[in-house]
Amino acid sequence: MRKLAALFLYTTFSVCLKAQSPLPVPLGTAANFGVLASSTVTSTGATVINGNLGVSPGSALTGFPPGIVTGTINLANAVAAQGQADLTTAYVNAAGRACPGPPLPGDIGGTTILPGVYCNATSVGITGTVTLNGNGDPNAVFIFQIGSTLTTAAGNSAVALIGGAVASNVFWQVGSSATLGTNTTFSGTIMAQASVTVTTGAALNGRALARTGAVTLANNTIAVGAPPGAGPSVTCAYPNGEVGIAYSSSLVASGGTPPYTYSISTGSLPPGLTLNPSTGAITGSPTAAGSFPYTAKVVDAASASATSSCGPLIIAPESISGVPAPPSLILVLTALALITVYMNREWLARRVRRN
Amino acid sequence: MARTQQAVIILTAAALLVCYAPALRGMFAQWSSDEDMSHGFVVPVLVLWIVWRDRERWRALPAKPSRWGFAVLAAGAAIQFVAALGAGLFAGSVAFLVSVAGAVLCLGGFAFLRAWAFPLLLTLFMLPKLAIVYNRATLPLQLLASRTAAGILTAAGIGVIREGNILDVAGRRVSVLEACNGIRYLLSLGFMAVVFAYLSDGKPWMRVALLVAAVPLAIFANALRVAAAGWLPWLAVGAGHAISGGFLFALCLVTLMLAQRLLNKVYAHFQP
Repeated sequence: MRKLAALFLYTTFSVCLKAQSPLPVPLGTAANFGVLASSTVTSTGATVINGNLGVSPGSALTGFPPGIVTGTINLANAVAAQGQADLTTAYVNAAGRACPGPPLPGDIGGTTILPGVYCNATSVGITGTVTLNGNGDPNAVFIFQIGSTLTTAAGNSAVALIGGAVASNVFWQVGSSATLGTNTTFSGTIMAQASVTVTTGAALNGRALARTGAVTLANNTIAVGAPPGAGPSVTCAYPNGEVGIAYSSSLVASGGTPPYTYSISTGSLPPGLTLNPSTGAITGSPTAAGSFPYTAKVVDAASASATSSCGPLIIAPESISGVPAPPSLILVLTALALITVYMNREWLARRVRRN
Repeated sequence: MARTQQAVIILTAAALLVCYAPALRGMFAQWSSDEDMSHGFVVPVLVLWIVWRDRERWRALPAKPSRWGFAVLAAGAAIQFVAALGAGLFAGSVAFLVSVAGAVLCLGGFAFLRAWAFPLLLTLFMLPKLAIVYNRATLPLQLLASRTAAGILTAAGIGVIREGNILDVAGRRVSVLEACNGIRYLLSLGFMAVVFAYLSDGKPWMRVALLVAAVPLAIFANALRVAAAGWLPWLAVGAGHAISGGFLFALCLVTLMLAQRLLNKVYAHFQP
């Protein structure tokens, strides 16, 4: 009940503060990076980054390939260093914006937020969908100042953009670390003081920028948002699948005028997989092995469209699931028990005979 | 042992733990997250137990600190420096073990280092996987497991067609994944072979002999596991999979026990 009341008050105040859309945070060259970290970038699975990837002053990069970076990879070079310098400037800029409204509630899932600067001195979570409403302004800017952590719940948490809001004008300044839960669909530029973790299947329409720590990815799609006023674009993730195993990936549109309608313009998805035209989610259980190239198409509300060549999406034949041996700890403990019995076999035999 | 000596030993151990805390944390993290390396938790416990078990032997030794220990400590520090520059967790872990050996030399001398040589060598089994070696070994081991599994199935009269790491077993296509490469069996069985030889046999060569024997045995057992799971699908999932994996590992150990008896008989035969 208290949470509902807080949400009500918060939404009311948000509406009152509506018209004051702040200026965007100047990202400088950091805007070119889909992923930028200080120490290391680690990815597992078929992550796709539509933009540049950088690490500075560290240089550790793991998981590319099989991960794909459509832009350039900059490890401990001048480009990455400049990106980090510009990120610091942008972070300080975002952190210094005045917060005119009430503090953000601890969980903003289920709320609709209008353009402005919003703050929470501790942590913010997103369970479900938070809707950012541009209110018809294609230059609407949303800045979130979060003192500690930003976390989205696992499942299908989302940051939805309506009313002309675009991902490139959404900024999340996070005082420590940000974690996007599994299958989250997130929008905006995350500027974390420490680290950013994007867990399995999450799609980020924006940027994951970490000032002092690592960026950790797992089978994600990251698309640097198009600038306001640009037409739509679409990015596709095509992690490999396997016959008979549930599959999940997504097409992610940015720019243009949401909402978007997704389709496959040429080629086809593997048999057993279907595309949700509203969300871009590709789900199902493949029924045939093979290699499936296709072209994804997105049409926005203003009938502008864009296509992107995807794939080939590789579907492997059915494999044995769970064939790896038990964990080595279990094997070793089993063996130690056996060795103990063996070493004490005579004593055990005597005990058995006595009984 | 004088109180001063005890204090020096405790301070040295504390200094090593503090200096190499990042490497120790890294090893702990890998044992927690990598199922190939989770036996790492057991290694330090067993090593400490072995040191305690042999206490009468090394307590009788006179402490003759060696200056060479400082050189070994310096080598450990140099490796740690390289690790901190970016060489990674493996180098940091090696640096820790080298430094422990250096500390033993500094405080006790070569006699102590010899007395503790076995437990110190046993700690090699808790080192993190060296990525460059692991990545190079994975595919050949995967293909070897596929080839051997196909051979086992053929020998058992079961129709199988192999395409790389894909086995077509009576119309059912099976992929021998990276995680089926047998490294888990190799590391665990190698470790247990050495521990078993230490506990059951005083002859140092027996440890080497059983370690060498564990290599083909682990590879064959892993291939047998893959073949069984390919032939009987219920062995590939759930309890059937876990039990068959553990059972085959126990069989490997029993085979090593038999090999030890056989080797001892041959050894006794050739003794004057």
